Amino acid sequence: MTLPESSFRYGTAVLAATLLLVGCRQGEVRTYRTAKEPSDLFIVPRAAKPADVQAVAPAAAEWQVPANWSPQKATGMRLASFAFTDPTGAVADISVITFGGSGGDELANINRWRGQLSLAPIGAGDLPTQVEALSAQAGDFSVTDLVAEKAEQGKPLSRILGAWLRRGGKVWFFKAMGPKDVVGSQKDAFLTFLKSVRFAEAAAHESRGTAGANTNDLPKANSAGPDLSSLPTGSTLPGGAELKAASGSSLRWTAPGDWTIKAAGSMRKGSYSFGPGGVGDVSITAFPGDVGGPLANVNRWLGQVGLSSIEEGDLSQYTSHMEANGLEFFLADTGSKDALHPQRIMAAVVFWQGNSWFFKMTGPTELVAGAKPAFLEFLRSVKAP
Amino acid sequence: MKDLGKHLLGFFNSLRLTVVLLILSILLIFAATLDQVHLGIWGVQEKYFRSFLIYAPFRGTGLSIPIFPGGYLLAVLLLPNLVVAHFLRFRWSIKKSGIWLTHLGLILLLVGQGLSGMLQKDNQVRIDVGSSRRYSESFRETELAVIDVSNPDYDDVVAIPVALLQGKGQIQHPKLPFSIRPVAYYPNAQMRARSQMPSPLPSLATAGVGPEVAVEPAPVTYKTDEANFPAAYVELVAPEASLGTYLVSTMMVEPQAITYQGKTWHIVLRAERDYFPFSLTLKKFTHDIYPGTDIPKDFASTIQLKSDDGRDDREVRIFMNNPLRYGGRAFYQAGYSNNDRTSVLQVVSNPSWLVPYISCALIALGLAIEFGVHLIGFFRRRSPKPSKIPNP
Repeated sequence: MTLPESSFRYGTAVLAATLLLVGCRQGEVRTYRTAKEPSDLFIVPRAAKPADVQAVAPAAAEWQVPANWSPQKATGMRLASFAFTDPTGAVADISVITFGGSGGDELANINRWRGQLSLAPIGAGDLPTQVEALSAQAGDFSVTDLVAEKAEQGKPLSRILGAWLRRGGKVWFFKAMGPKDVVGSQKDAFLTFLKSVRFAEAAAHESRGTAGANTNDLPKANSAGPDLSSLPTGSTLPGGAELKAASGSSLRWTAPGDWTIKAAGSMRKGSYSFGPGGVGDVSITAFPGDVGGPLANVNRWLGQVGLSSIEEGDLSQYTSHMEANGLEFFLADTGSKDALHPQRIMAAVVFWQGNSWFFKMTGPTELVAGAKPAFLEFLRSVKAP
Repeated sequence: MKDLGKHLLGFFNSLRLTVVLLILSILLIFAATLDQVHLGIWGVQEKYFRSFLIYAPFRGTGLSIPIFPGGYLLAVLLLPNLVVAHFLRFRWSIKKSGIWLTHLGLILLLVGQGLSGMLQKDNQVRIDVGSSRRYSESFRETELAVIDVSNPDYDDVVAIPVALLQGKGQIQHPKLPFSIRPVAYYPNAQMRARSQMPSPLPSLATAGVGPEVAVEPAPVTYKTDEANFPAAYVELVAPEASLGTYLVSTMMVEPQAITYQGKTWHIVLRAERDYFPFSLTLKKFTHDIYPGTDIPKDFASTIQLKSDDGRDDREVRIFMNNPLRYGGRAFYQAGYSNNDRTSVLQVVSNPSWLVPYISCALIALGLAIEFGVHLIGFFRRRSPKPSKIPNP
């Protein structure tokens, strides 16, 4: 059968039209509504949630930090950061990072760390000699211990103790890096640290919190536990450093009755408003380590109300101390200098279980001054669970 | 109109078309086989077979132009070509019914494959023992989720496919009070802390965690045991001002928060999600091995299935070759990890899943008829015919 020319023309025209239709297909934006998701790292504080909402108790990572490791500021992608300093001043840096996905296979992980020590990559056949399994309560860790072959000029040989664990679609990396002997001295502590890692499994449960109670001090069965928010909400530290929220259990408190609970998004563990129009703000946050220390914190708050930084010697003009329920609070008050700076911040920091807990009241100068007694009363209600 | 129909019939009845299409198919398979070295099996399937046209970059312009018909286009042409030729050239008869049914089955099989390719979604669910999941995640597709988390009871999600982040156009949506301007997109990129880099390039990000992180673009991997980690810089633009440029990556597990107009929004780049109208809670996972070996004998998930409408709240057991079919999806036991504390289920949703079964039944029936007809004819020929007795 021969094909007439006109058939080809028609055929081609229909074809072109079909192609135009299918060719224009592009991904579409979808919208949907979902129930609140639990997260491994993130808990909305009970105090900030209306009562009787379905609370999904999340799986939080907890660990026991060896006593001789000091918590560090967890910057960038780090979830937690620690340092061990030996008597000579040499430091091993310990970090915890989590990534989505499988985080690369065993070989990729090993070779990435080998690369950091300027070691040649290995092949799959060498893996069994480089990776050991460590069975722990959180699951099976893959552990490796790598030592550099060449030292940088004037520096000791470097060593990496690394471990990773896959869990729930994520991979958790634990890494200690530093001079060979310093890291070596911490190997047992590192392995003990890994064994202490625990993901608190908790099924979804119904909250029966007291409606309107301005407290997070609810019975244990109903308390949502620690807020491990690692939401990077933008810098609050000098130099744009990012904060990761602390892990561990939560302090308890009772807020004054005339404070209103606000949604505690981002990194807050508690959030309240007070005063006319709710212009006064109280936030409760917690971060690992000392978050820069008193001077850095005070200077940050001074900066936030438009005042210039101070020197160490002037610190006592702005700060005081207070003790309540066995917790020692470091108090700071930016005070009020002039009409150009109508905002005032009163803040309290308590160092508890390796984390700095910040209780911060911000608002117009007069309002904050008036709310000072209530704020101090609020601080006196703060206690360990 | 009548003319158009006639011409189309003529076009598709053409043997010349068949030959051209078959030659193009051969060339396509040849090129795809060679390219498999670079793209891997999945990449080749997507580029060569699950496409209407194959594109190649046009040098110096940054544009991609179609250079060859893809598998779908060839199939779309070949199928009517075969169907029309079959109906116009072969005459129907009872004797030929077997052949007809077999061909019908084959055509249906082709159609089913095409439908599966376009409609089937392969996702996975990872559940830890004791926890619940109500969504599956795509193996390969990624989305930028912009989530309004202000309401304490629920989240409102606007999910933007990454295809839109690869373009230059500003993305607007009625549910978003700001628009999203794609700044840069990396199909695969590693993240490093900038503090650990000797001399990182300036960051494009101005807000969120981005300024602390250095992005190292990596080649796209097509290996089955490796994953790509897409990353993008997106600027959130409110009517009055920019809210900042954020770095998002599937390597970052936690979302980043933005507060705007009294609402808190989370943005996160994540595997594309498919939410179910039900929840799955992993009650128990068992993993048996053959005694004395590490060879898996059986692995099974005991799951509590609870539908949102309250109709179902029952325990189901998913194990090898015994999927749960529910809500238009099939859940297969695909794997396990984390010392048997995490179960991995493959979730296949394919509205056309019955088509291959029907096709195979038709083909089997057609072949049975065809062989039956021949067998009966064979026996008829062999049965002894009454011999003619010569008259004495």
